[in-house]
Amino acid sequence: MSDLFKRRESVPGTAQEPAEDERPKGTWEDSGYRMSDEEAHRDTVYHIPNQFMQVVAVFKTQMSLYSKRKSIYLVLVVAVMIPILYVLAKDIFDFGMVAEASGTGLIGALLSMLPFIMGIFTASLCGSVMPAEFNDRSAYMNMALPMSRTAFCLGKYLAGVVITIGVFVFAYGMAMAGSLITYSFFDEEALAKSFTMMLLSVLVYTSFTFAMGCFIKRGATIVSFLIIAIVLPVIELYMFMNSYIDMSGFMLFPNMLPDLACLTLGSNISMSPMGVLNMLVHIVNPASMDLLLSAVISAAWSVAFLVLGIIAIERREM
Amino acid sequence: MNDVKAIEVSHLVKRYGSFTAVSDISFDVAKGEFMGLLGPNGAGKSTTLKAVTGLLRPTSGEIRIQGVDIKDHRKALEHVGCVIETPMPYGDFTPADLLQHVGRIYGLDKAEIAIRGRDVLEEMKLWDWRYKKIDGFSKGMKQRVVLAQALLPNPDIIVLDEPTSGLDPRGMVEVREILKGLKRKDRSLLISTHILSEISELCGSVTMIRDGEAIISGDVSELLSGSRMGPITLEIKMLKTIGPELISELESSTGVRDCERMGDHVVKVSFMGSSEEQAEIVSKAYNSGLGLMSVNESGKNLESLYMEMTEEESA
Ligand SMILES: Nc1ncnc2c1ncn2[C@@H]1O[C@H](COP(=O)(O)OP(=O)(O)O)[C@@H](O)[C@H]1O
Ligand SMILES: [Mg+2]
Repeated sequence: MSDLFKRRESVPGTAQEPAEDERPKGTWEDSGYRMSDEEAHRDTVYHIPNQFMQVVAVFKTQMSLYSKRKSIYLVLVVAVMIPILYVLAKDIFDFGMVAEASGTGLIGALLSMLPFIMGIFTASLCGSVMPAEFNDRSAYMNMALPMSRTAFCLGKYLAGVVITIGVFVFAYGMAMAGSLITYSFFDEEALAKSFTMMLLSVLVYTSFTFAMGCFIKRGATIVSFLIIAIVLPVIELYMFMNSYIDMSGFMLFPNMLPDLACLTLGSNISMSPMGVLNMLVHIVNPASMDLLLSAVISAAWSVAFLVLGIIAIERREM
Repeated sequence: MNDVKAIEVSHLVKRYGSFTAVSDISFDVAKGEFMGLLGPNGAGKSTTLKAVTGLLRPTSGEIRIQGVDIKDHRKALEHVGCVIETPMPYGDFTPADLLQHVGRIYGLDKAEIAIRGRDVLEEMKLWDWRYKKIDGFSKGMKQRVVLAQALLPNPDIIVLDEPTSGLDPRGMVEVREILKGLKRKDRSLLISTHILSEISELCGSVTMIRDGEAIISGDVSELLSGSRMGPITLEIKMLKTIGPELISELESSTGVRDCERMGDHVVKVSFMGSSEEQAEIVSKAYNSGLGLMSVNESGKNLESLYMEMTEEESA
């Protein structure tokens, strides 16, 4: 009867113990070294790490899973295209039509895809992460490990946040590079404000889409994209046009932040319902927005969605 | 400390709405014991094992693993490895990636993961596949990957839900061979299956469940060989005419429920008890001086009972 942790047969020439320093210290390569029975049977004491370390473990795993996703590289390629397309288009297209003729305005114009990509990217990245666990049944493995479901969710969520921030910071960098081709001066205050709005919107979008993935088992990606990028903006804009809410109302609905981030830079256009409306009637003016208040509200929404999503997973029967 | 049970399930009930998937199942698995949950499809095996591993919340009842309530999920499962409902590991990962992930959660350091990882991957015959994407693996290989994952921490307790289901005959044989290799000192196993021979090959004890109820529980070899299930009937045939003395003597023996005289020479004893008690009855008949001719034993054993059970199922 073979014992699991006993070598089934000794490999010729490797029977004798190697000297201490020859031992492979944790390698996946086959060095011919075999554990002695005592070692194999060692009642190695291991302890479940604390919750934080388990969050880190899940985070690392999720980063590694994300790193195999093509959509991330696709968005990075789109970002790299920004300055290239600008160079190609600047002589045949008048960017002054869609944005202030300034360095900052041009950044805004170059980032006009931001709202759309923010929605579709977070929906596909974060909205799919929990449904994939359940549909591919890896959840049966993970949730039977000595780890709380909350730690599991947090690790997965944080990986989505980090990737999304990375991608959009890169996009900002590329848009600035494009703008530097023509201009050498930026309105730093507007840029910082826009950048902050973008970071806040990443929080809101990732936690909303992640939570949707926790609530619904199928179609979370498309449903969360439609809600956050189409349905809510249309409703909010309708309320805005009919004066049920004013500019400050958009702070309560931080799903508008990617738009506002573009508009803050001085562009009149973005690829979203608000962008279209603003191009037609030019009414939205983000300058009057209180960024600090907006940050507090966005953070509150993000935490609320995340907590609701985690509760849904904690209560889920499998 | 030593008599702490590996797994204790007491009065487990799980209802889905008005449907009761598991009703009042109790059993325990001692340290070093291999216990099988045997039952046809839909009996409630997976539901029981999911409750044991904290994947679902029991409607009522209590589950302890090494004395720790499963509600304290992290602590209770510290030394448990399990495969429930044939999970599919991440297809984009390689076995090495997957073991890395699981090892980190258990708190094994990098070197330890690689050493143990090589061990389990070799045992699962996956060592040469450690850098290949799991996506391309056959079903049997995927099953071995999840087994490797469960065995990585060299756990004291292993919980497996139908580890051979859905595999082709070759895959089944491979997995069974691996399971036989799991025995080691103080390791406990709880495994569910609908295949009787898997239990008899592997397990020391068995709990048979049907429609969410535990109907028999006990030692496998005893259940398979003897008729230790419910009362058995001993038909004792004597040479001389049986008098009331022998009847009353038999009736007073431990384990005897009923004695019935069938004509002058035969008495039917309904009995439930240990083998020693059964031997005692036979020796009483022998020592009666009436000339013991034969003893016939009849009753249900595990196999016949399980056959009956599964026949009903398919009928
Ligand atoms: N989530 C659920 N909702 C409703 N009924 C369920 C659910 N899970 C299992 N059941 C029912 O509970 C019974 C036991 O299921 P299960 O434990 O999977 O059986 P087994 O593993 O023994 O084949 C089955 O009749 C099944 O239909
Ligand atoms: Mg089952």
